Amino acid sequence: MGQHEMITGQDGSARLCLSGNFGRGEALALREAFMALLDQPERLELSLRKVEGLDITFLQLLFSLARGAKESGKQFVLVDELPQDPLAQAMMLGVTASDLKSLG
Amino acid sequence: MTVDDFHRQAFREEAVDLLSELETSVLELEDDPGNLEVVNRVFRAMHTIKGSGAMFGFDDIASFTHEVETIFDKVRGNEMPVTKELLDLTLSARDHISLLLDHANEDVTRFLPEGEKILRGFRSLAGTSLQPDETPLSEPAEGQAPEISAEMMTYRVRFKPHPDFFASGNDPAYMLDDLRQLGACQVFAHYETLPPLPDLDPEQCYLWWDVILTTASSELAIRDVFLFAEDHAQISVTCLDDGLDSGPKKLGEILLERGDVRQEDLAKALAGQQPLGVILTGIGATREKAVASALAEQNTVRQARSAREDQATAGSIRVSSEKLDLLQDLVGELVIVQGQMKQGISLLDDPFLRSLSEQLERLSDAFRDSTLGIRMMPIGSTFSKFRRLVRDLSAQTGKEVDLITRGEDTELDKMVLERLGDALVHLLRNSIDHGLETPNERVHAGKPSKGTLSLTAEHSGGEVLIVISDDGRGIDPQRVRAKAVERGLILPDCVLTQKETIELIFRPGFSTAETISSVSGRGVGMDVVKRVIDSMRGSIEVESEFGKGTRVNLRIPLTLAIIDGLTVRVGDETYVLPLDYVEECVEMPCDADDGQDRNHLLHVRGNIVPYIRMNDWLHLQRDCDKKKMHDHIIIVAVDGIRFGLLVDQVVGEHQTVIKSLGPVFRELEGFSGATIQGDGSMSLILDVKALAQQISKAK
Repeated sequence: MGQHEMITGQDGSARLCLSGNFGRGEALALREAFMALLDQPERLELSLRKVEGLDITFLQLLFSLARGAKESGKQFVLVDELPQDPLAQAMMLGVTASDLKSLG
Repeated sequence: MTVDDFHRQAFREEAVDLLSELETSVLELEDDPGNLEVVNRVFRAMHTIKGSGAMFGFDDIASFTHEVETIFDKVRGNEMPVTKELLDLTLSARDHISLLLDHANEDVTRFLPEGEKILRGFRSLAGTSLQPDETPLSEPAEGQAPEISAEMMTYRVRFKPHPDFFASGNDPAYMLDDLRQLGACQVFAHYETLPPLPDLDPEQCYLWWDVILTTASSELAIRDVFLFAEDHAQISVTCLDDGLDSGPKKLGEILLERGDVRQEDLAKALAGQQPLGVILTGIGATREKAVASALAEQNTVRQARSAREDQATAGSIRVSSEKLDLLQDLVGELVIVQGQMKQGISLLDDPFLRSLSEQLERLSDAFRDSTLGIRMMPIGSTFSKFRRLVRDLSAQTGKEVDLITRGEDTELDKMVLERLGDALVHLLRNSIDHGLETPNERVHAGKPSKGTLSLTAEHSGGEVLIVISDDGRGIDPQRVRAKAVERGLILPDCVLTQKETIELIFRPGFSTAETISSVSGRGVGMDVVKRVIDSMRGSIEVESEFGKGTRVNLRIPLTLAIIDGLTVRVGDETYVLPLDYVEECVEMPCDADDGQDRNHLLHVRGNIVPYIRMNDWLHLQRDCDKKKMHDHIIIVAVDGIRFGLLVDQVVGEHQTVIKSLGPVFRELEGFSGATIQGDGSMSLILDVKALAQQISKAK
């Protein structure tokens, strides 16, 4: 079961930290968390260090978040990369290293 | 030799070739880490070494290679990136396998810690997902992508689920997994149809996929994967490689065919100079992912074709070089006997025997050409070894070097190549150690921090021209001269041209390096290099511009064994000229050269050509036959110098089997060998290059 925690800094930056497994059951809550992050005014940070598993819905939300941040002119930064196992899952689903690099 | 020994020896020879190919591929990956074709080549080499090694009892090699193979399976499956660390480890692994191979008949326990250290490095790179002995030493395990073979076909599967795909009880991940069961897959997700986050319904599927699948399964089997999903997705399966000989489609053709780019955008992009994929994404005509996917498709088809070609050439057999040497010697003897027979038969007035002799000569010619052809090898096999050398030397000296090679397909006799190898190594080492500057020095000199070292080969007449050039500091003639005086090689007041000064570096023991380095040794090499080149009837020439760089030209004969020669008579002796140098034969009235004219100049169709009177040069009596109306002058050309050789008689063309003069006469100037004539007599082979140098000096 995936969990998330939002940490906002005094400088206006916001960091969303994800942990656990993210599948279809967590997709709705994850979308809300991503939208809350997107509503933040300044630099948007996402930490994926504690993600243990993911599926297609997770990837859809992740790429949509990155695109939304870009379109609204906000800085989006992946502060920690995906650990080895979920990274392998993403790659099995056709996500390439350059896709992840383009996120932020 | 038992059958088992024979197979073990065959494995060793195959493994040496594979390790060489592996090294080349790893170095290629350094320049082009995204090249899946090369990744697959590395995988295939490891796979074959592992499989054959296990089969013939090389268990240490097989188990070590197995782990490296597993890593590269992950790389080709997009699960691991190609990084510098990975390539460094792979080169170390290659060296370790080579070491195990060299000591295969001994106890290799002492080498195992080093192997384990390399494997630990691989495991660390791969994270926790790689465990030793994860799969048995066998053919691909269940679920593991099989190696591409000639029987396989490559397909593009475009899989676009409808948004309600999840609601139908399906998950695209299952279909992708099922496709992986069928063969080697490259999966590309496309996400450009994703809606903005507020409009994104997490229960819907917005991603779609291109899968490049190489499989032995039929198209029907691929479609079966989507049996229960076809009403909820748009699916197309296209065979990309029908096995016909046409080349793999170009990127633009693939993108057009897929509908990922418009014809007009393509035409616009083609007017530019950059790679098509960069242009198309740059102008927004398509997405980077679409280009990456199309390039993967192109690479996979190319690789499948290459596998097919490999199988087509699998009909070749491996023959030891000793057997080839023996065959060449026998052909040489046959050519000599055939020449003797021809001469003997010419004395008999027998049309039947003459006809047989002519047939035998034709067969002998064809046999010679065929045998020499078998021995010819592309020089690229030698060049590829130098990439590693340059890489290691760059790391050792801290110099940045870009090695550019050209003319890898140029063929040379195997023996020439073997003898040339060490000389080239020395020249390359010299270029890196003495020629190229450190990055700081280069920047101060207004040059790019990375030096360029170029190694090229091309055919030039009956020779191969090999050029080693660098854009380093060049040779300082003042320093060379000072060092030569210091060493007592020349007198302080000796007058030399710049070219002659630079050629002092070929004198034994010459060295201008202020410090002795482990890279290019103790400066004892250039004279040895020259001696090796001379011994092959080749030549070496150095051109250098101080501060700009150095160029070394090597001219090497294609073969050392049998040449086409032109036999001439001077006095009572016969001599042979290599036919490759001969341009024409002209006649000159005997009274035109009375021996008093020291200018020795001949007018040939408006051009003045100097000539040498061979009688004088060889200190032989001139033919005083009063009936003789004409002298014969053979016009030859060497390195742009055109000159004539006045002889008494042109005997004719013959195949000439070159025999060494032996140590006693090796230093004799003007002769490059000897041959046995049809009548059993011996003739010396004239060293036309040495004669050209004399003409050049006389000028």
